[in-house]
Amino acid sequence: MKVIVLGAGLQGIATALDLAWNQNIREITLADIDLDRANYVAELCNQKYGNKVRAVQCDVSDMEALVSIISGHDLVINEVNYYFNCHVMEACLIAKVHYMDIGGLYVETIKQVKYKEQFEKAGLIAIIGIGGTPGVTNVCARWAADQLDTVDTIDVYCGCDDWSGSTKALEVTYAIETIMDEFYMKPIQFIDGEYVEVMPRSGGKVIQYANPVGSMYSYFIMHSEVGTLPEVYKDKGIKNCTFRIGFPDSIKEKLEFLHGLGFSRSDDVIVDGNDVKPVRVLKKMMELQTEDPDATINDCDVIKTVVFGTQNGQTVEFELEAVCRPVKEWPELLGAQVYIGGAPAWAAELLRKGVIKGSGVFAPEECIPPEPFFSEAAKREIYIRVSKKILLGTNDWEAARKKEFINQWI
Amino acid sequence: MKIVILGAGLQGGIVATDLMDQVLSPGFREILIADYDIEKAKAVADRLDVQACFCDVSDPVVLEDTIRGSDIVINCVQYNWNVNVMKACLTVGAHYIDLGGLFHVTREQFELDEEFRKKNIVAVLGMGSTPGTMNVMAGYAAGLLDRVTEAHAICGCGDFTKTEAVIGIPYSLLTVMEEHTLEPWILHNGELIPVTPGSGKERISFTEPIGEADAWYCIHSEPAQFARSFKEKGIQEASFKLSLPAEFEDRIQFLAELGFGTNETVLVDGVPVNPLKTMIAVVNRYLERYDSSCDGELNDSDVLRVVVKGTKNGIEKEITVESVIRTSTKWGFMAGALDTGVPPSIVAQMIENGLVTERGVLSPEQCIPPLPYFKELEKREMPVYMIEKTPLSSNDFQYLDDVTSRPK
Repeated sequence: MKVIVLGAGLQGIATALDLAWNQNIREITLADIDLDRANYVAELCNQKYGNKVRAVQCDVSDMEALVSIISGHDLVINEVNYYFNCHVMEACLIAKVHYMDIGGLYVETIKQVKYKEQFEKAGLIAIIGIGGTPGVTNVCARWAADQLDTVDTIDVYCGCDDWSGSTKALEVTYAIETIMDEFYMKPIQFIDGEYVEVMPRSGGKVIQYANPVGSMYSYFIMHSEVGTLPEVYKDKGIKNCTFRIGFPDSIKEKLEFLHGLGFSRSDDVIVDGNDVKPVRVLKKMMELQTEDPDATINDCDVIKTVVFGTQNGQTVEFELEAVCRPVKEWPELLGAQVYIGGAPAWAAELLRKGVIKGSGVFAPEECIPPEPFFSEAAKREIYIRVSKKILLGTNDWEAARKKEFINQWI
Repeated sequence: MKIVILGAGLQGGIVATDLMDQVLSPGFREILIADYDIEKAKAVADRLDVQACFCDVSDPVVLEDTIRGSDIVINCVQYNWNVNVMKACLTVGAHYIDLGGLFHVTREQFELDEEFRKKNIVAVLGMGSTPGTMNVMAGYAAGLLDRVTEAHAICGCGDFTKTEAVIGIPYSLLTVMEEHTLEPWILHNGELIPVTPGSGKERISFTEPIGEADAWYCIHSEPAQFARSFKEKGIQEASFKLSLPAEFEDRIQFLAELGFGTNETVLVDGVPVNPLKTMIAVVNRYLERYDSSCDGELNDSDVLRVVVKGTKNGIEKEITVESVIRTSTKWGFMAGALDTGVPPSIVAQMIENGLVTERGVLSPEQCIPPLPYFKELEKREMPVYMIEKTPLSSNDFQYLDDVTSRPK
């Protein structure tokens, strides 16, 4: 199978390393608008795993060039900024190549599903939002939903923390543009059977994550899971689906400050007569930070998918959790990169094996069989654990949950 | 009298407000406020009933036309233009006042001293809070001494506003960023030398409401001015230290560390972009929007302190002069803006009334009579006081220092 990865950034590097590490995948092309960056990543992969990765320059906004570069491959893994998702999908239809991406932040996700018929007709598969979250979390939701007769609620959480040692002023684990968009957009959540727009960073509560993250204040942000899970589990009667994220205070303060100043606004400012998008300058300044030769990597994302529904007439809650840390095989990667950038590479392996099949546009929960996917995760030191909660002697969860509030009579 | 204010920003607006106040600034005078952004100038003019006009200070012809016929020019544009504005004042024969030149430009400005003398006009350099009031306080202390060995300026800023605001900027953000990234200069052993930015950290016990706060070296004009003004009195050491509210400091430091303090262009999507200017554009956009929102009442403070050491009649003395400034109850201006914008108005009136008699390019400590100036400050809610430290059991502090510095 010939795979082309678009974008050699934070996640593209992890995908390329994972694909190159996989002995079953022989040819990988890595494309970026910055050829130097693509070359650097390709070189890193080739030194570790032999000459498998070829770097090319590609400006995805140029449709003709994009089609010509991806032609001849079996699969495109799109990891450029999510703004280009629909555009890259169209190129895949022209070039007749399968497609994967790592999320569309809801707004793009709901546009992307509309390509379903076109991909079906072309006999191609497009898996949208197969990164860490969305991605691994969707497959976790699928696993739980498969056990249940009805699904009432799917709540997804991501708790991030970082103990890395670095002299850099600001480091993040996924694209700063996406982080700023998440801060700025009014998130859409599925509540009581309806899609509702809530205030940015509202719905905050302290969530108990697995160690080492522990308890962390987490709030609503815009995310792709909410765009697909309620549609996929409509028939099982789903009424609620939400996404919350938790950042450590130190990074949250910095991000909130930058957001507060207006680095998250999409409109330009005028600098020396040029229209400038502030977040692009912020991104550049972050890239230009001096590398710390003594930097250590020690981050953690805990992704948690909580599914509530009925099984044989009894109400149950499944909680699936993965503690994503740096791994031995790739000491250069943050834990966050290993699972966010890694997930499409695991899916690529399942596609190669024929475990994932079909044609059309699919969310991960629609087309990825959970157990084989979790086996791929485990090969990369990412372990999915599940716990099942049932109430004994009653089915009244609401009454039982209220006992956890300090003010239990509200 | 005709006074032209160049720049209708934060400080220009305060200068005009003070000059138009019939109680604080009695008498009739013609006032023109000029800005590159005519709308800004008009906004001030409409509020205060003064004249407004467009002026691009980078164009000498336009600049001279703007100030021609005026008696005093108060320069409140970014300090990079100070020399240009001074040259225009020489051409039209107007007195000149500015808010400071962040050390390097100040030194350049002193080179015009001869020409100002010849024209019989005065240029008062750095006549805001610090430099400005700080220098007049140093001048007062130095006047009590026969010999001056050291003069140290320390400015403490506090902000107690209960606010949702992400950041409040009391003076030019460009200057704030430069203060955090440029090498500070101090006078050491009689020589002006550069030191590392952020060095010299010291815990200072300011007067309330600031109290204990950390201060460190920061580029400012005062060391260059003190070195020049107190040369005959034998000055060897001079410095400027700044203490900002810890939270504000953290945020500015963060932006500086990210590289937003630099003017070196970076390529963003193929276009060369100036990071500092981008950040300022972003913050200004934020402030414009924020200013119209309802928020906690402003409550900030500046404490200006100068410590001058020397001898009087052979006895060592250490004189501390301090001024405490709070948010203006009269106008509502932030303390950090009030104390910078009001002094040029006071000094313009002192020139008008013949209280400033020296001619040439001068620092405030050389030409402003301190006590009349301090009285004007107090009328504007800025009291000034002094503490004089004198050894009684000997002629110097040597033995006292010895006793106090022993390990606990």
